[in-house]
Amino acid sequence: MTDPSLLLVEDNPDDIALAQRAVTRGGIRANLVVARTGKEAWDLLNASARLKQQPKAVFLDLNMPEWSGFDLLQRVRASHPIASLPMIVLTTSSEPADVERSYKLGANSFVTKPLDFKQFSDVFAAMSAYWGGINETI
Amino acid sequence: MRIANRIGAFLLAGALAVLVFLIAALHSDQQTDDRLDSEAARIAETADTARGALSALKDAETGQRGFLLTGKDAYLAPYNDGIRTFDEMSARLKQLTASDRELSAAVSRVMALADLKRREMSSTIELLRSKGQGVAAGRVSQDIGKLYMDEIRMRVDRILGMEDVARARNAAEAARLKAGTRSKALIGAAALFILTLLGAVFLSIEIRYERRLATSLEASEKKYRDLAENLEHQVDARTRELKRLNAELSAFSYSVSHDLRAPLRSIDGFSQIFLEDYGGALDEAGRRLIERIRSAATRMDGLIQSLLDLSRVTRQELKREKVSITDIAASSLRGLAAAMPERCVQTIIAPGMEADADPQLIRIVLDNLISNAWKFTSKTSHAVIEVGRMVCAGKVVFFVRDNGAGFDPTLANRLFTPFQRLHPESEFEGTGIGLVTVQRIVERHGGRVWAESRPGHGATFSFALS
Repeated sequence: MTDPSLLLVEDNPDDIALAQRAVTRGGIRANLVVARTGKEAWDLLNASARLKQQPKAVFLDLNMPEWSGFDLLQRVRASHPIASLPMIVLTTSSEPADVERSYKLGANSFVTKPLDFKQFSDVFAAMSAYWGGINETI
Repeated sequence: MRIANRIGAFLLAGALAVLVFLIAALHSDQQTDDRLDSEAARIAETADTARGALSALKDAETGQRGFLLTGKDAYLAPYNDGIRTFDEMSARLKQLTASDRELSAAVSRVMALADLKRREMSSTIELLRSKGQGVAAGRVSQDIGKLYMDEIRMRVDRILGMEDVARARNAAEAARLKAGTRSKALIGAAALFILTLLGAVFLSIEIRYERRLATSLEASEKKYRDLAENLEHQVDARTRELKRLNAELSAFSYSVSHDLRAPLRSIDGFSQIFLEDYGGALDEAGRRLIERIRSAATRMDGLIQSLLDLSRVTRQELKREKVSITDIAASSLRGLAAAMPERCVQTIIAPGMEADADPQLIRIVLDNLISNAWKFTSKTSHAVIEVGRMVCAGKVVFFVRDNGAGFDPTLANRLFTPFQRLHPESEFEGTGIGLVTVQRIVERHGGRVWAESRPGHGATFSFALS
């Protein structure tokens, strides 16, 4: 049996590397699948829905080229088979306006990426466990 | 130029006075002239009447002589006519000379003589009728009548002479009057002309000056109107420009802050991963270097966060509601105590403090002031932080007081300038933006913030909202 997957929608390679490190560091038993734009994530999600292998949760950045995080949120929530996927906004922004808009478009959580890597790892693990039901067991 | 106006008015008033005087003088001259004319007419009539009376008396005498010589009644008709005419004439003469005493005396004397003459004539006529022609002729030959008549003629001549003198005097007076009137009219007219001319000149100076004044007034009025209009346009344009620049600036600071934070996170994250993976291969000095990189990144992140807060405070719409200052202060202090459990701080928070303010923004104010107090009491043995409320001149003032390091009061005005720090970073860390943010928020609430302190004796930060 293969591990469940988490989808990370992120265009910054450093942040991708840090997220991957957080997964291994936190002992999160999941495959981290990466999409580098909102559009790519959209295609991936639709393909996985057809294969019935949907990710347990989606971490998405807001500021991305070709479909922003908001665009992706809006489309996913309007698309029947994947509409109820847990979507966690993981962004640099701490703007109240961004927070409000994210929740309005159907985000389950809004997380401002902490500077401290340890905190970042902890948040990532907690979100995976809470929304994805993935236990950090080793 | 008011003096020209006054002189002009004075001159015209003078001209008017001259005109009135001239009219009065000419009128009086006219009256004198009329009087002289009527006097001349009276003199002429007196002379004519006197001559007429004499001639009538002569006619009567001629009739009397004829009757005496012939005894014919036919001669009595001219006699009677003469007497009647003489009576009329003498009555008129008395009237004409009544006003002149000398003349009327002369006339009375002539009249008395004339009476004697008439009596002589009527008595000789009666004599002829009663005694006959001889007696009467004898009386005539005595020639008393002729004596009377000669006397009368002489006296009438004298009256006529007096009248001549009066006529001459009258004529001279009339001539003098005429000359006087002419010169008065001439001088008056000249004065009138000159005064009117000068008055007009002065008034025209004044009028021209006033017209020029009005023109220049109008011009300057128009100039100021144009200026004001122009200024309004400029203000509008500047306001639009400022709004645009402000929006641009916030967009800029927003994106810069975000784009700066991503690499910082990488620096910190990879430093930590580096320590985890290769820490064992480093000696203590090497690990300290990495820690310094990390702490620099942390400081810079704090700085960026402050800048973000400041820009948000400026942009964010103000939503005022009733907020509990007491609750916010308590939660802020709880947060600090939780973050630094090793600190030992006595806190005094007044109960029931409330304000009409934007809850998010007022929390930033209190967070900043309280964390400052927390920070600057870190080296105080028995730290006390008090959040309270007082009423100054009818206004509610909130304050955050500590017994920490304090600051030089002469530098108080620099507290609210961005990136100004009164303490070295090595002693108390900070970004130099917190108080600027506080000030911006308080000002957006229409309020004021100020600080009082003495070095080593703590500081009090107060703010009042409107």
